[in-house]
Amino acid sequence: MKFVLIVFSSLTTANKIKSELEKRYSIKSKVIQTPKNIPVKSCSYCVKVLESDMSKAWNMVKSLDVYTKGVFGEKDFKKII
Amino acid sequence: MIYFDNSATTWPKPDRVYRGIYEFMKKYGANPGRSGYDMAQKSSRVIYECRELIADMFGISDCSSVIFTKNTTEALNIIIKGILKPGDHVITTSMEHNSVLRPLDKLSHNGVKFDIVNGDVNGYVNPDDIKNKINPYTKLIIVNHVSNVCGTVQDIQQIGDIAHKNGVLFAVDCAQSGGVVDISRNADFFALAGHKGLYGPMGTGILCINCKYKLGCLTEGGTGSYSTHLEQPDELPDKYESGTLNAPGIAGLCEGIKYVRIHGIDQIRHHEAMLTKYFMEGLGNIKGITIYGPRDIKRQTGVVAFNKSGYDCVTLSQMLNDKFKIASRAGYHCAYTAHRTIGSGDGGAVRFSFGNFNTKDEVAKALMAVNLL
Repeated sequence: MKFVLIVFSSLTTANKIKSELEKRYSIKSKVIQTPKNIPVKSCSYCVKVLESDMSKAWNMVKSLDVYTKGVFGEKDFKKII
Repeated sequence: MIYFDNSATTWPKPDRVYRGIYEFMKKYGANPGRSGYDMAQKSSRVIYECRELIADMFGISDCSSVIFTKNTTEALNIIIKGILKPGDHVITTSMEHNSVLRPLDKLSHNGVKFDIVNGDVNGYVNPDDIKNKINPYTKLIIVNHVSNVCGTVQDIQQIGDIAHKNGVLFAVDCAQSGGVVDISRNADFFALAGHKGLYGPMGTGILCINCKYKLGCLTEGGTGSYSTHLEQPDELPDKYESGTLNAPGIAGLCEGIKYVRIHGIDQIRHHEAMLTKYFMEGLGNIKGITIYGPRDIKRQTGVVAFNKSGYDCVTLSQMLNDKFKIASRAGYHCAYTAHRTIGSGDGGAVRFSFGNFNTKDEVAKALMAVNLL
């Protein structure tokens, strides 16, 4: 299974996205620290979701108007969005 | 022991609060927001759940605007010192706690001007008196929602409307009202105690930000985010939550809020109103008693301030403890101007404050004790 990481500066924001994904779409996700291979410099948190859930999750992030550093591949750390 | 000091902190707490704290500390007491391992994440989920519960209870659309503080005083200090600059004017009332008046006094030495609007003998502030004090430099109106001295409930809806019509920020000290009476949703900022009407443990306070105004912060430091930046992050709640949170306390608060939700604010108020009415009626039949404040259960909460002739309030409170094991609080309750307003400025008063765990039988025993003394 392939996963993507949606990166946020704030842990609270990451937790909010996790909660909303579950509430709105029953999508399971996990909050983890952002790997240092992802080029975001600072300490941050990300929500790990299945790649197949990425577009739903991303649309929700945009609709909530929260600050995000983008979506990255879990394995290659490349920026997807 | 009969406990009537619920305005200081509610006691006992619901069993689920004790269990919540214990389980948090025993099972997943890691530092929330500092690491990615499962236990730290579980800990952070408890904090997040509590934020969501508070946002839901007090009508805050984004739970990131729910800030945990160590108490109401800290939340009020963030509001006051985060807004006011030299040259600004602020309006407050004579019913305030020192948690508002002392920060304002300090700022007044640095060019902030403030007006104190007097309440009437029952503690009620006329919103028009506030309106009449607004001038072009007025930046903030800050009022106490429920008096910790005598339970007076201010009309914060009307005061908030006046503030907003005049382009002035509006903040409310909800230390005594959170979980006790419905809080008007038109305040820009409100400060809450986690350990009073929300039945959490001491060491928990809340700042709710209900507008887009960017408050300055009092404390800078580690937030677990933006670590390569020397400047404090602007993102909420991180901006105001530097350092490790009181996570076990917040876990307990989370359970306290669930307790209030299960019982319902209206139901809790109804119970406390019944006790208060019974107590005030009983006091009315005892010779030498003076009750201060509204004496109107529809316009006050479960707080009663009184004196008995021939006794100073501290002695009376101590005798209630020593002879009858009744816990009350005497003195000025950190709100001298409120006492002066309601007529107890010369010596203070004994305060009984009721909670959801008090019973009519306890109140009856207290009345008998006051009568016997």
